[in-house]
This record gives sequence, structure tokens and C-alpha cells, in this order.
Amino acid sequence: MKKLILVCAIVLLSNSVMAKSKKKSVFVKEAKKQEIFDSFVYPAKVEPIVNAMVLSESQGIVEKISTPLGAKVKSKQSLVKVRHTDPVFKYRPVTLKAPVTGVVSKVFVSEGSLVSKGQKILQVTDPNKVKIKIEVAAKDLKFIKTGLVGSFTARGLQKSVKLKVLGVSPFVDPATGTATAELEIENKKNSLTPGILGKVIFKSNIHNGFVFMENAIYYQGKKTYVRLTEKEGEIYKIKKVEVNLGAKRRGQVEIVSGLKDGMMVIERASGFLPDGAEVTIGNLPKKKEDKAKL
Amino acid sequence: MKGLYSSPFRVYLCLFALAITGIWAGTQLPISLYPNSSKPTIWASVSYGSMSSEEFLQKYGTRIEGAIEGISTGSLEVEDLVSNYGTSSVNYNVDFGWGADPKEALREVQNLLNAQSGSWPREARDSLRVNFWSKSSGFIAISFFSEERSLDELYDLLEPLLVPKLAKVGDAEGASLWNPNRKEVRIELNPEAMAQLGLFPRNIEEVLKSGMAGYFGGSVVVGTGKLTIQMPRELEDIKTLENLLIPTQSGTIVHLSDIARIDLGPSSGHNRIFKTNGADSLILFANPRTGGNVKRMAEEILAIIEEVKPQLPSDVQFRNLVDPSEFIRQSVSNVIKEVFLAAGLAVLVLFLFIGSFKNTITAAIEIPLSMVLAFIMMKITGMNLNLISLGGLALSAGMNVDASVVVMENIFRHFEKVKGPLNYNQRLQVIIRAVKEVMGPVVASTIASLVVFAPLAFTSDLTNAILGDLAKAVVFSHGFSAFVALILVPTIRLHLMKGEKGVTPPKSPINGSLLKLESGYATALRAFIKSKLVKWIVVATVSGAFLGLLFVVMPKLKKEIIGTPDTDWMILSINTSGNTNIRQMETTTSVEEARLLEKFGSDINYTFVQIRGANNATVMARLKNKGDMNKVWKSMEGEFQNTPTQYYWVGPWNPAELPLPDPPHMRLLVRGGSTEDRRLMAKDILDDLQEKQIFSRQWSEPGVSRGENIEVNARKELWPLLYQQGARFSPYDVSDLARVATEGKSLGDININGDTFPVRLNFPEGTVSSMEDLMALPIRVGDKILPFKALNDVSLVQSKPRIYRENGRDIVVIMAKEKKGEEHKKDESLAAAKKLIADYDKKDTSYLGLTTKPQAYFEDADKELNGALKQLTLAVLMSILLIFLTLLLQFGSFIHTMIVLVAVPLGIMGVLGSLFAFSSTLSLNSALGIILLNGIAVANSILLVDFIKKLVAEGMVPIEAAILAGKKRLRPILITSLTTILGMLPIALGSGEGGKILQPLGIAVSGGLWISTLLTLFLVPMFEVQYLDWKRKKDFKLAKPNYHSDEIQKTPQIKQDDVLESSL
Repeated sequence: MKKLILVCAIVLLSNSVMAKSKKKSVFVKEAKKQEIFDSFVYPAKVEPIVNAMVLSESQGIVEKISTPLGAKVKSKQSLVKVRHTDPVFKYRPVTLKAPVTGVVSKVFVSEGSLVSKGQKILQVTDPNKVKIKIEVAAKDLKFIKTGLVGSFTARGLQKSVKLKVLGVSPFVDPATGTATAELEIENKKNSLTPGILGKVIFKSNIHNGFVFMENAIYYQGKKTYVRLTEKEGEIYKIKKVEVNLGAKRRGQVEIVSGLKDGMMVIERASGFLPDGAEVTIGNLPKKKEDKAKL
Repeated sequence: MKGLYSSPFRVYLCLFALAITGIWAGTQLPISLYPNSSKPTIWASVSYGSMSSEEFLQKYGTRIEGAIEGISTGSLEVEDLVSNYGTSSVNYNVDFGWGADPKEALREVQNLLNAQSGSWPREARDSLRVNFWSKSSGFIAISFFSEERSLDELYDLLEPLLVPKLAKVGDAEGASLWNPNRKEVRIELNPEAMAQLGLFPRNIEEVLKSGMAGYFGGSVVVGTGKLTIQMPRELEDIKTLENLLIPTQSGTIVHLSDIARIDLGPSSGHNRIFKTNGADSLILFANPRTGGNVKRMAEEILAIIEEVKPQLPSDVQFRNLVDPSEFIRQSVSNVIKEVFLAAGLAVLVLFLFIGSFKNTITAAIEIPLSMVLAFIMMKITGMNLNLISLGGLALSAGMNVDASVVVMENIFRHFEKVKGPLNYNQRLQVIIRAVKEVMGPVVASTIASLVVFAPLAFTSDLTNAILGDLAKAVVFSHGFSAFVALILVPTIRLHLMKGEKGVTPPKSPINGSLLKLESGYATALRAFIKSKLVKWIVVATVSGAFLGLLFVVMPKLKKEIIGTPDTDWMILSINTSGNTNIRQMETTTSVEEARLLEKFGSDINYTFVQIRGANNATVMARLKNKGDMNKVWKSMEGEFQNTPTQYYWVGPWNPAELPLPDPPHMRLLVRGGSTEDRRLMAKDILDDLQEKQIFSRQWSEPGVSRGENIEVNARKELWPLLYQQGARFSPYDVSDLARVATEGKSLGDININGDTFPVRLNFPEGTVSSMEDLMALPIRVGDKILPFKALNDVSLVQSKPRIYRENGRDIVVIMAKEKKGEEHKKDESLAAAKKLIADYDKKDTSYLGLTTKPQAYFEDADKELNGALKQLTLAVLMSILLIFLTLLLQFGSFIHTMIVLVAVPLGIMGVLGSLFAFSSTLSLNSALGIILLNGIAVANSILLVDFIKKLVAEGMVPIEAAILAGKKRLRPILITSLTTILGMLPIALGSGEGGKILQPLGIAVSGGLWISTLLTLFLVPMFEVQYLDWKRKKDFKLAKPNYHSDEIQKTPQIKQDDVLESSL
């Protein structure tokens, strides 16, 4: 008989343990104001600042191109010899000189070709001095203004590079609905090659506020709530509070009002949480407990 | 008859031939778990492309639904139509009634939709898909492995051997050999390079598609010969793919490798991953098609493997991971064992009552013989051997000996009267006389006990589909038993008696006890009838108990359609959210599988894992011991508790192929109002239900949570100018870009060195991980690189609620269910839910901001089961009516009939009482038990009443007649009852896999019959005596008012007869 009672007691005990373990578990995040911003992302093209075209000064035959594609040239260095074909000029050769220091980035003609006056012969680009060009959508023009600071990233680039808006064209292209903006960027270690594409990211509307995962929000009709855990002795209980939502950014929702610093907001739960239910917290930060003790 | 009995060998030969045919027919009967009936569901889907769900519904949807609901040809009848209109496509689920032919149903829906699709927009027409909707959870999985070969080598070896043969398995749907190392050609485009060149994914796709195709260039006749011109495909291997030339917007041409990384690697687009014991292996996997026989499918596939086996090298091994045929074979063989046990027990009862071994055999031969003969009929009517039809055979095993016993006893009775030795012809005469005497009653009682099944034929399709086989099996085998009893038993008797002198009936081995029992019963019966008070107290108690059982206990009994068999497979299903790649789920699943093996490794034989998507997987664990199922189930439920990131479900796996309805415990419909208002209100109610935690689980159809979509609208006003500026792309290219950049796109298959690989076009992973990224996708126009958002308005919008319709009604259904093992709470919970809704209706719901007024009301969730049970009740009543009419014809007296029918409530009482006592269920099976029991109980009652009447007619005083009749009829009644009770006992104990299915029937019959037999033995004679006494008094008063009752007993018997006769 005693054994029987013992068995019953064990069964009851284990049942109550089971019942306890049936408490739902939740993941919480402490409400803490953090920097929030709207981000504007644009595809961006790296363009050279110095990009000089060498044109033929007269009609003639290209006699010699002394600097091939990719050759580094100094300002005033002679690049191409063009011989006049007009007997008036006694077939005098004319030497075309580099207008700027840089690299020969394009060769439009070959030796022996006949060129006319003003025809493109070479292009000299300074790869060290670059700028960024983006096409700003018309509706974003009010945010993207001269002086706005952002960052540039591209595939193959180790780190993002800071940049600043130099100026925005006041004209919106009716075909593309965009206005061109030029951005200033420092080309450290010549890591930015003119011509590559990347992304420019601007932060705007920077302010402090609460953000939580969208899962944290509980909708009831037109009203919105979050659930908090409140500590009562050693147990945690659920409390529902009404909040007002701000914008949604990358799966996160800003909570404009209804929350106070330090509130523990439930972001994920193992099931539906009725008001006042006891829960266990799956991701309780150690630090917080210490704070609570103090 | 004379000729028949006197030539035993002719009879033996005929029956032997029939028996051989029967055995042959038996071996030919297909084996399955449940009867051969199907309830197909056909599924159809249509994408509406540019239309919205409302537009499509209005313009085409209602017409489609109307046409589907109108399908009614031959056996086809649409029972339910559920349509679900989502953001871009609609699904129709068409439920047909029981017994509909699945192929015909599919054809009908296909034809109908094809005819309708003529008027649809082209994109909708092209997207039409119609197929079976399989509800079966049965499948077969076999793993292949080798220590010497890689999986790819093994696959290359097995694929040509197995796959062509697998295609021939008619019952399977999509049988395939799965290779975990399946490779694909991945073309990962460089978004920047593409933009710089002004290329769109579609440009690449076009070049690839033309490179993948070979062309036919006509033919030239040269002289007398004909030469065809062939242009082989350009793409042969990865190298040629890399060197594929892509023309750009500016007119230059680049190699594909300049703008994309191309590799042949493990497939990322797996839609399923299989594993066993944590390891990848080749898996042969097949589902049965709707209406397909899962056992036959498994057996055919196993046969293919056996066939291929000799061609396999010795290092290749395989293992049956999941084999439903084995499970079904075991379940069925278990019930076959129970049938044998039932037969054995019936024979034992016979021996105890009859004595003589020879006579027992003579009577018992009937059991196997009538069963074997029943096989012939089963074969002819296209039945199969399943748990249900075998249950019928087990049930009839006990009933079948009755006819033989009656015939044999009558033969003995006639020989008892004869004195001195008889010659052959005299013996034959006696036997013929004896048989002729009982022929009528035997045939009549057999027909009577079969006639009770007749009303079953008129019950609902569900009842018929499940119980039809049982009823048929009983009818066939019991019907044949009368035939055998009247032909074989007398023949054997005559044959055995050769040379014997007269016959004295052999003594039963328990004759002494039986005699004591008889005299004890006689004394008890006399005391009972004579008692003034006790009998009425008993009658009152019994009636009270009957009413109590009927109105208090019956509503409390658990209801089910039919039980499901035990298995040794447990399922752990894991659900997560937020994964984008199936490989992420693979990692999660391995962790959970390891945890399962760590905690329950000692109970688990091996595991089989199916990863079905990025957020869903099931781990199946085969237990070492089936008996541990409930223990493991419970502790697994304790171990795998939902976490904030993972949701679990634990339960047994059951490959039952019968689509038994599994309705929720609550169905609450929200109808009326606008779609959005219905959603809001349903969500609010669902939250309230969850808040109060009334049921353990609740959900809704369609889902009511708030969803969001990214909406992209092309800025149409820009396009004319864009074209002027030389843009060479269309809004379609832009949407295609978004698709490739996010999900990637499959471009069909490419042949490389004899192997076929799928081709996938995508952007590097992580290119688009937010709406902002999508808006920043680069697109080149002229010299400018534009962001995606310049050409399109991109916004986050709340998604339109799904439009869910059941049989043409716009509704949201809120459903709820109790946890396994807590089903008994459902009525209480339902009442609580009803109260909640009543309160909700009064509540101020202005916070929802509804503009229309949807209404919530409850619907009977168990419609199908309740309907079936209602119809079964009707069938029971009808069978009682049939018995009543038969009796009325036989007795010609209303009162006598009513007295005989006293047995019916006693039988029902017995069934309900024992179902309650053994906490069994009120199912189709136990309802059938009631019908069956009525037959047997009434037969017992008839024996008594008929004999009492006869004795009284011969001049006995009613009470003496009743006691004599009871004493004389005790043995036959006990034989009939005990053979049936003991025959059903193994089934009532519910041992083995299949046992659980028939258990309620076993409990109903074996538990109910002894209660009803016991009560019948006392109450029926008592009522009969009461009536006869009353009647006699009345008659005497009418005829000779001065007669005293005391004098009646002294009057000569002849006078009594006269009186009785004159009264008739």
C-alpha cells in the first residue's frame, strides 16, 4: 500500500513537472532606443574626373602612335604624330601632346589611317581621380541634396568608401524620371577603377527610436499591440500593450509610441500567448538578470 | 434428397471440388487494409495572370464552380467543392462521393475545365492544371548503398535498370530514384556586368534556349538517296556554355563567362531531401496515386527490385526503409489468426456440448467449408481480403455451427425414438424425415439473421463503403452454412452410421455440470416467475437501466467512424519559419534527429527523414517494439515542446489507404460582409478562442493573419520616351529581372556527356535581401545606370485576403480540435466556444472598424459521422421492423411478437453497457454489432416462445411449459450464444495491428450477447407466462364465468387444448 502511494505521488509529481514544462517559451528583446534611418540605395557608376580627348588638329595620316593603350603619360608628353596630307602644309608632321597626366584609356585610330580635323585619336584618363554618378529617382530628390554623406560599396571592394553629394542636376530626364547627381569620393590606393558599378547607400531621416521584428506586432482590427513579459517574483507573465507603429524597414517595425525604455518585448513565441499567461524566456540575457538583482 | 444422402461420395466429391475452387478463389483475393472503396478528390488550379481574384471570380469563377457542382454522371456526384482564390491563382478541390471511380472523376473535371477554358484569357488557359489530390499517407522508401561506389556511380548503375520499370507501376504516382548528389548547371549572373552591357536575364535565356536545342533543316534528295540536314545542338558541355556568345545592347558580343560564373555543382533547387539514420543514400521513393492500392504498389516495386537484383554487382545492397505492404500483410494475417482462433473456440464449445469427437467434427466442418465457399462469392463480387471482410468471417464462424447443430440434434432425436436395429434404407428414411422437419426452420432462421443486414444497403455511402464488406462476408458465409448443414451433415451422419445399430446421442464431457445448470436454471426461473415482487423489481430495474444507457450513457460514448491500426512508426514533424534554403532546414533537422536518437535511441530501430522544404521536415522513427508506441509517443511529446523558433508535431504514422474523414471538433463559419471584414472578424474570434484556451488547437481556413506583398507597378508614362532613347527592353524583362534576382529561374534541362542536368539562372545569393535592394537593381538605359525604382513604383502593400468558398458560399471557417487523448473534452469545449460566440455577438467590436456585418455561426463538424450513425440507427430500427414483421407472420399474434422482441432492448442494453464498461467507441462497427446482436437475441427468444407455445398447446400449464421449455432450450441457446461470444473474444481483446479496428465490434457482440442472453432466459419466459395466464383467465371468464382458477389445473388437458383452439 505504501508503495502504491509512493508510485501515485511520483506520478503526480512527474505530471506536475510535465505541466510546468508546458509553459510557452518566448524570445524577448529589451526596448532600447537606437539609431533608425531610412536608407536610399542607388546603383552607382565610377567615372573619371579627368578624361581628356586628343583630337586631330588637321587632316592627315597617322604616322606614329608612340603611346599604346594603357601607357602612362605625362602632361605635354607627345603621343601621336600626324602627317599633313595637304601639299600646302608640305606634308609637315604634327605632334599631338598629352593634355593631362594620366593613362591612355582609348585608342580610336591605327597607324596609317587617314584622319580629318577634329577626329578623336586618343583618350587620356586619370584613373586616380574619380567621381561617382548616380541617377536619382524624382521622388527621392527632396532627400538627396548637395552635401549629403553616404557610402559606396562594390563587388570586390573590401570596405565601403565614404562619399558626399557634390551636386544634383536640377533637370529630371522625362524618359527615365531621374536627375543625375555627382558625388565626390576619395580614391585611396586606386581601388576604384573608373567604369565599375557599385551601390551608393544614403542614410536619411536619422533619429532614435524603438525597432522590433515584425513578428512582435499583434494586430487586432485597426489596433496594434505588442506583448511584454513582466516579472512577478520568479515568474514571467504576459502583458499586452497598445502601440503605434511607424515605418517598416528591412523586416523591422518602428514603434512610435506606447513603449518605455527597458520593457521586455516578445519577438517570437512558441504559441499563442493569452494575456496574463506564464512563460519562460528562452533568450534571457545574463546581464539583465544582474541588473534586476541590483 | 434420398439420392443425395445415399451417395456420400458424390456429395463429398462435389463439396471437395467446391472447396478447392473456394481455396483457389481465396488465394486470388487481393489483400488490403480496408475495403476496396475510394472517395476521390480532384484538384485543379488556374493562375489568373493580370486579373485580380475578385475579377476572376466574378467573370469566370462562379461559372466554373457552378459547372463543377453540376457534375452528375453515373456513379459520379460532387459532394463538396472548396475554392480558394489567392492573389494570383485559384485552387479548386472537388470531393466526390464514396465509390466514385477516381480516373473517371479526373477525366470529368478535366473535360469540364477544358471546355470552359475556351473563354478564359490565354495565360489562365495555359496555366490550367488538373490532378488527383492524394490524401493517402502511405509510401514506400528503399535505400540503396554500396561500400565500393560513390552515390553518383551507384545512381548511374541503377537508374537505367530501375526507372523505366518503375514507370510501369500503375498504382504509383511519381515513383523515382532520388540521388542526393543530383547536380545542376548553375549560371550565376553578375548583376553589374549585366547592367553595364544593358543585358537582361531574358537575353541570356533566349541564347541559352536556342543553344540547347538541335534543329532539323529539311532534307535533300541526292540521286536516289535522301539526306536529312541536321543541325546538332551547340551546347555540349560546360566549356561550350562558357563560350556561348551573347550579343549586347551596344552591338558588341561577349562570352557568357564574362558576365556569369558557370558551374556544375550540387543542386540548390532540391525540393526534397531524404536521409536515413543521418546519412544520405540513394532512395527509391513512391507514393500511391489516388485510389491506388498502396500494398500492390509496394509489392510491385519490391518485385522489380527482386527482378533487377541478379543484374546488380555484389557490392550493391538495399534496405526496405518503409514498406506499407509488410505492415498491411501483418495486420491482415493477425486478423486471419483471430478468425482461426474464433473457429477453434467455436469448435471447443461444440465439443463441450455435443461430446463425441466425430459429431463435433461433423458439425465443425461447416466453419471452414462455408468460409471457403464464401471466398468464391467474394471473388465473383470483386471483394478483397481486408480487416473488415475478415471481421465478417470471424463473426460468422460462431454463428455458422448453429444450423449443423440443429440438424444433427434433430437427427439424434429421431433416432432416440426408434427402437432396435435399422437397415440402411430405414436409417435413410429416418434421416430424411428428421432433416425435412427442420429444413424450414433452419432456412427461415438463416434468412432471418441475414435479413437484418438488408437495411444496411440503404444507408449512406460511407457506411456502405466500410461495412458493406463485413455484411457481405457474413451473408455469404452464413448463407452457405445452411446449405452445408442440410446437405453435408445428414450425409456424413448416414455414412458414419453404417453397421451401427440404433443410436444413442453421445454424452457431453461436461454433461453433469450441464444437467446441474439446467436444473439450477429451472429452479431459478420458477422462483423468478412465481415471485410477486422480485420480477417486477427486475423489470423496473432493467427498463431503468435501458433508458439510462440509451439517454445518459450513449451520448457520452466516444464516436468514431472506424478505428485505425497500430504501427511501429512514429513521426516527428518539424516546422520553422524564415529559412530560404532547404539546406538550412537540413541542418536544423540533423540536430533534431540527433536529439531524438540520443533520447530515444534505445527504443528506435532506425530513422527515415524527409525534408520537404526550407521550413518543413519529418523525421520518421521505426520503433524496436510496437508495444512501446504509447510510451514513446508520450515522452516524445514531452521532449519536443514548441520553441519560439521551432514547432513540433508528434504522432504515429499510419499508411491506411482509406480516406476516412478526420473532421475537426468545431466548425465555426464566418459569412456575409466583405472579404476583408470577414477576415478581421474571424481573426478576432480566433484570437479570443486562443486567449481563453478553450481547445488545444485552433486554426482557420483560409489563414487570417495579416500578410504583406511588395507591389511593383511599371511607370507606364516613361516607356514611350525610353523607347525613343533606344531602350530595347519591355516591362516583362524588368519583372523577369526581379524574378531571377530573387528566386532564380529554371531553364529546362541540358545534356552533357549523356547525362541530363537542370539549368538554373540566378543572381549571387544575397543580391536582393530587402525591398531596398530590389529597388536598387541596376538597369542601363543609354549611358545611364538607373535604379529599378526609377522605372517602377515599388511599395509594401497589405495583401488581399484570400477568397475561400465552400460550395459557392464565401466564408472563413474557424476550426478547432482537441489534442490526441483529450478528445473527450470536445463537447464541453464546444459548449464553451458557443458561449464565447454568444458573448462575442453582444460585444462592442467597433475597434475592428468593420464596414459590413459578417455573422458567425456553428456548423456540425461531425456531419459525416453523425449522418452515418443516424442512418445506422435507422438501419437498426428497420431491421427491428423486419424482425417484427417476420415474427408477426410466424406467430400471427401481436403480443407474442412483442414478447419475443423484448430481446431487442436487452441486446441494445448489453452492447451499450459493455461499450461503456470497456470505454470502447460508438463506431460503425459497434452499431453493426447491435444489428447482429438483435438477430441472435431474437433467435434465442423465438426458440423459447415457440416452444412454450407448443407445450401449452399440448396442454401444459404455462408456468410448467415455460420451465420445461427453458430447460430443453437452454443447451441450444447456450451453444449459439457461447460460440459467438467466444468467437468474438479474441477480436474484443484487440490484439495485434489490425485488432483495434474490429475491437468495438468484438466488444459489442461478445459483451452484449451474454448480458442479453442471461436476461432473455429469465424475462422472456416470465412475460410469456404472464401473458398466457392473463389470457387464459380472460378466456375462461368469457367462456365459463363461474370457473375458479383452482379448478383449471385439475381439468383434463384436452379441455385446455379445446379452449386454446377455440380462442384462436
